[in-house]
Amino acid sequence: MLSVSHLSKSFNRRPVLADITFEIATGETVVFMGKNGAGKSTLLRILARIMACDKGEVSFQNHDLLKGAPTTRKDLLYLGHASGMYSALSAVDNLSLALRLRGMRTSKEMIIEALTHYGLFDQKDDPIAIYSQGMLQRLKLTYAELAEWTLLLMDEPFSGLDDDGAKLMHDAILQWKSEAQSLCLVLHDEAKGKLYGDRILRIENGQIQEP
Amino acid sequence: MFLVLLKKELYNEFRSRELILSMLVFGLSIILAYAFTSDVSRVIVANYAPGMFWAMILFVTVLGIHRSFSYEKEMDAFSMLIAAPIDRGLIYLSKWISGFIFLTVMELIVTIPFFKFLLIDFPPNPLMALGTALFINLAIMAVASLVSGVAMRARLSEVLLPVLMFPLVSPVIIAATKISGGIMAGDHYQLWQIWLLIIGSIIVIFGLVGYTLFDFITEE
Repeated sequence: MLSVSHLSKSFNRRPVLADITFEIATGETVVFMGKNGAGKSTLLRILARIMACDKGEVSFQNHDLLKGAPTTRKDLLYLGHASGMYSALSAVDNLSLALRLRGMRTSKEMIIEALTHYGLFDQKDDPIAIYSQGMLQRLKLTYAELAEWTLLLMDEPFSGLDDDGAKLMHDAILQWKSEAQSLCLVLHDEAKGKLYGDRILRIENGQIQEP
Repeated sequence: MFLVLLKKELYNEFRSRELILSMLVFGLSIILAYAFTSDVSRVIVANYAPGMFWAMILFVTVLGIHRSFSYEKEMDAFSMLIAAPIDRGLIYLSKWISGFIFLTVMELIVTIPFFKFLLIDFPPNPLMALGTALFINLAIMAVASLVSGVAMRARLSEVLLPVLMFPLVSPVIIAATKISGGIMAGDHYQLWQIWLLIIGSIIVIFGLVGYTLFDFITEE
């Protein structure tokens, strides 16, 4: 499904990712682990085409992801550290917009139903600027639930979540795994990495160390 | 998809009301400063009025376009936008056209105070003044949207934006001043049409460059 070959990226001439090569199969969950600044988030941002790489190739569903048309990333969903949404808009408006940008026309009722499931019904019409970190994570989770994708890139999905939120995230990840969706997660917790990952890839000194 | 993006820009502003309001307050402040410091005859003020007006618009544009791209940086919304499976050139077009709309609305509001406070007569042909102003606004925003796209990824974007934008938008401001001066003086169209052609060329060049290059300049 996803094939990354000889990918490199430097910041201020300091290599963060050096000649990285790996593959993710359909239905596989790969967990990236490593120290802060190891390049995990950078890797995800390159795969989502938010960040340019110095060299290397990325093939997604047999299409060149880095040079291909925008439609080549249609089945790929990136959820980063931040919410990736507009602070002045409500959760409903943000989700409606994000889904429209992915070519989906989702009814308001469906969006509200999903927000209710993830505990954001009462704040659904408030601007998300007033949301806490945990609420923003729940909002991202709702987005992932509503959007159509075959590969989800998720950076630290449990960050800022309370126990209830963590349970919702846990259930969602297991649900996606049972549906044979491909996941690419950045985690810091070793136990969670072993729980969710079919494979754990550690990034150290810009290289992937596979145990 | 362009309409979805344009609607997003307009709705974002409708919900926050930060962009037009800040442009308006800044524009009116400049007009007041002009009005209380120009202690010369009406003829001299009328001669300088086109330059004063477009200089004010230049500063207001920097403020507005910076705010427009700041929305994108908050909560990293721009990442969601560029990661979406859409032609990134359309993001440039939506920024350009929404900026044009905001600037035009702001101009429509500040124009009457500008003429009233500076005690100068309205142009003899208001429709022509309005038509050319719309054309000039398109050119200013074509340049500003592209420069903002380049500057927004920089660490000191608020410093880089005016540094990059002022030299690039100077030809537009010079041409705008010449056109407005001609209209205010009641000159024949042929006397200032060359400046209109320059504005038209800038719209085409920056429009095409912005649409084509936005895919590359938006990546970190």
